Amino acid sequence: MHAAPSGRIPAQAGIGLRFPHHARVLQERPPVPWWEVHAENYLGGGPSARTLLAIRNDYPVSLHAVGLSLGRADGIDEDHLARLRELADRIEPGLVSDHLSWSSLGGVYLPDLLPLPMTEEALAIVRANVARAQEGLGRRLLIENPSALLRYRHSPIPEAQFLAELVARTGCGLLCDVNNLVVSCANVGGDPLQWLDTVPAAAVGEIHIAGHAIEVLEDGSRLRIDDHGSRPVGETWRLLDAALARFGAVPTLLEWDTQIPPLEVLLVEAGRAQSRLDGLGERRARLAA
Amino acid sequence: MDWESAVHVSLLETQRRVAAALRTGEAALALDLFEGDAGPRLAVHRHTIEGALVRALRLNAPAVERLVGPEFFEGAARIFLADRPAGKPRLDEYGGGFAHFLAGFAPARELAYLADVARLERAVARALHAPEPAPLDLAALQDAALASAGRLALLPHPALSLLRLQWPADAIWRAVLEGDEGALRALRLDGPQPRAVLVHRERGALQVEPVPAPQAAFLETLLDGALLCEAMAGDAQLDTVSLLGSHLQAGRFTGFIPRTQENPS
Repeated sequence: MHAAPSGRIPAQAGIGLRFPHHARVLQERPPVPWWEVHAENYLGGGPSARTLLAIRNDYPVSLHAVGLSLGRADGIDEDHLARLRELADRIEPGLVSDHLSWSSLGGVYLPDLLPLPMTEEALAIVRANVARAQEGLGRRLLIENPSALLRYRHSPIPEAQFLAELVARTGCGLLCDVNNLVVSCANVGGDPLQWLDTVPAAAVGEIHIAGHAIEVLEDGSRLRIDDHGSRPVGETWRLLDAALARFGAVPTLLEWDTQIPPLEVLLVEAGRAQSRLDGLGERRARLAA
Repeated sequence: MDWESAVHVSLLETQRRVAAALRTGEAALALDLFEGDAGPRLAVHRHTIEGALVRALRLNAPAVERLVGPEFFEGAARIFLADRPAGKPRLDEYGGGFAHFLAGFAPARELAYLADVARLERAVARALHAPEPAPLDLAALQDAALASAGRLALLPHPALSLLRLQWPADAIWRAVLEGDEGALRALRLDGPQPRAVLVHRERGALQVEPVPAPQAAFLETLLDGALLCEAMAGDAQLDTVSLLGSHLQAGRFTGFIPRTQENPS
C-alpha cells in the first residue's frame, strides 16, 4: 500500500477521470499530477468506490459534483448533500466544485445543467444554497460558470458580476471553465475577456478546458454545444492563456466526456495545458529579471 | 405597476415552467421566458436529458438491450422515461419500475422472460452501487442471541436481493453478457420455470446464484425480519445452523435489532 499523498491539488494540468480508463490508471499509474471525478458516480459502496479509493492512495483527487442543483428555488436536497459529505470524508478531495445552474425541482432530476436568470432573486437563492452546501460539506465550494444556450428576457445582472457577488457573500471560490466562456459568448453574446477582468481573480481556484461541438439549427443559425467530445479549439487555448495571465498558475483540468479517446490523447492535451502553465512561470521570471 | 414588475415571474415559477417544457417537449410552456426563438435551443436541453436517462437505463440493463437490440431498447426507454423521470441525481439508481414497464409493454410480449431479466439486472445494479455498511460484529450477535434466546432480527446488507423469478433469467443474463450462443440455445424457454436467485456483492465481487427452494424460504424468512429463533426452527429438514453460518460468512447481514415483547416488529 502506498502512502496517501497530501490531498492538495497542485497548480498543474490534471485530467478528468472516466470509467473507461479506470483499469489502466490502476495498473499503470500514469504520471498525471491529479485527477478529477464526477462525484455522483462514486456515491455507492461497490467496485467504483473501491477504485476511487485506490486511485486516491496515489494521487490528489478533486470532486466535481453535477447534482447539487445550487440554483433550485425550492431548497437544497439535504439527502444528496449528506451523501456527498460521506464521499468527501472518505476521499479527502483537494477541491470540491459544482455549477451555477439548476437540475432538480420538486422530486424530479433533469440530468443537464439548466440556466438561471441573473436576477437579485436568483442571487439570493443561490447564495443561500451555496452557504448551506458549504456548511453541509464542511468545505469551500468552487462554483463553475455555465455554458449557455438560452438567454432569459429578464436577466439584468451580468454573469461575471453575479459570480463576484456570490464570492463576496458566501466566501465560495470560482471554477473558471474557459470552454464554457467560449460557448456562452458565441451562443448568447458577451465578451470573454471582460468576463475574466470582472470576476475576482483571487477567488479562482481551478480552470477547466474541453472541446465543444457546433450544431446548425433548422433556421441556419449555429449553436455551440458543450459536449466535451473533442480537443479544445484554438479559441479555448487562447482564452486559457488570457485566464492564466490574469489568475496566475491555478490547477487546470482537461475534461473529455463523450467519444472518450485513449488515455494517450488525454495525456497529450493535458501536456499542452501543462506547457502553458510552465510558460507562465518563465514569462513572469523574464518580467521580473 | 410598471411593466417590469408586471411581467416578473418568480424563480420557482420559472423553473416549474422550464421543467414542464423539457419533460413534455411542449416548448410553448416556457418560450416567453427567453429571448429570440428559444424552441430549438430548449430542444437541445431536452435531447441532453433524454440521452442521459436512456444511457443510464442502458448501463443498468445491458442484457435486456442485447436481447431486444439497441433501437428497440431506445424506443422502449423513451416511452418509459416520459412517465418515470429520475428522482435523484444518482443515475446509477435510475430505472426503478423498468421491469414492471417491460412486463406490460405489448411490443415485447413475445419475450416472456424479458421482465425477469430486467428484474435481475436491477438487483445487479443495486448490488454494484449499494453503500458498504460496517461489517456485522459476530461476537456481539452471539452474545445478544444467547441473552435474548434468539429474539432478534437480522438486518440485510443493502446490496443483497433474493428474487422470485418465473424464468431462468440468471442463466439467460449470463449467456447473453458472455456472448455464449450455445448456452442460450440450450436453455428451454417453452414455459415458466419458477426459481429463486440470490444477488449479492461479496468482498467487491458480484454473486448471482440460483437458490434451491427450501434454502430460499429460509433466507426469505430472515429477510422478512423474522425472529432468529423462529427462523432457525422453521424447517426441521434443513441444517439452518450451517446455512446461517454461510450467510454470515458471506457478509449478507450487517446488523441486528432486538425484538422483545415491548417492541414487536
